[in-house]
Amino acid sequence: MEAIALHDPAWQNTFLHRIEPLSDEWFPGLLLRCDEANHWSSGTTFRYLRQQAKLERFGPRPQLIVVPAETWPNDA
Amino acid sequence: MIEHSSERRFPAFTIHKDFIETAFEQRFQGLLQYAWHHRTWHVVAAVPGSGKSLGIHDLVLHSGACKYSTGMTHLPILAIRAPKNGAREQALGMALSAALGVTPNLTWYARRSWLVQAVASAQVECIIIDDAQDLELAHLAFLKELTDNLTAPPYERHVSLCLVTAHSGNIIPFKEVFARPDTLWRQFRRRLDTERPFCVVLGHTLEEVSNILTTFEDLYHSQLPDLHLRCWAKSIYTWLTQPTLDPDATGRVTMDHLTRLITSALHRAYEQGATDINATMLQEIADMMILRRNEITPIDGIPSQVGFPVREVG
Repeated sequence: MEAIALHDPAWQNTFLHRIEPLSDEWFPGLLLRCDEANHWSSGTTFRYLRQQAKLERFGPRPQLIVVPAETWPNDA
Repeated sequence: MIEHSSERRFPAFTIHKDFIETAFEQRFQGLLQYAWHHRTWHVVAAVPGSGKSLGIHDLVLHSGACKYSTGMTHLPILAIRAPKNGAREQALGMALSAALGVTPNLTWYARRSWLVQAVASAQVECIIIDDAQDLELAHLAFLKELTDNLTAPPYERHVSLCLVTAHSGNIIPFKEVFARPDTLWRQFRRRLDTERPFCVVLGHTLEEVSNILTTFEDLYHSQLPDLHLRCWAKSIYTWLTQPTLDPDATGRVTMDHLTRLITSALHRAYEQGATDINATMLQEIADMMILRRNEITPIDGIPSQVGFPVREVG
């Protein structure tokens, strides 16, 4: 990916910190890495993408990225 | 769109929009660069039409801002226009966020703390607020909070702040507000630069107008090959410092007035097939700007020579 300068219209359409997919990277892992780079809580990038792309097939409360709290062991 | 002539003898007049590094811009950008490199705080004022916004835009474009694919982003100057859509601090927070790029929906509580991290991680060194005369007190309090949080650990990042305002007369926006005894304003006042807290950047002198005219000669040489503007410098300066156009009697010329006068006169000369302008053309435009400035032009009827354009359908 090329670097984006301020005069490029893409500046306004990209997150503050851009990340590049790694070879064979797990997609949820890529989204989590994007969250980390942009200082957001985990799942924020996924929620943003789902909202923008209207990915309704994931359902209203998808647990694709973050391990649901109810599945944690009691002592976790 | 209506064509006024079916056959043009020559291509339409082209107005150049190039940024010209005028004497005003050198003074204005010089001050902003000083603030940027020395991390100082200033209130910077100039009369409307001076070229403040263009100067900020040019400075930001050449500041080396870049988003790399490695995740690193460098935004040395974070410049925004003061929000017009709300007096609350959220409006300023949203404007600052928008300058960084796309952000997901965040609660104001989350965005507030994220913004500090984002500004620090983008390596912002200078914050410029254009049209700062529109800032509300809540915005100023938020700016202080943001910069204080950046200064404190773990970021320990000193950023400069330039509140760029339009002014008229001898009133400098914020001067009275920052002189108030409230703790917040005393703290704000203390952060302003010691030597030049409030600055007024002046417009163009006669000599500077003359230099700009030389630049205009070069810019429009291809359309008006015999163009000589510099010889009109004294007349132009006198017209553009009339009380109507210079109500504060600064004796200085704004770039907006100068550009309007020159481009209108050049346009008129070009349409008449001339290769230079003359005193009559300049005088007529100057009169329009000075004497007929508030004249209302009634627009009525349909231009008689021009029929409605007919297009074949299908």
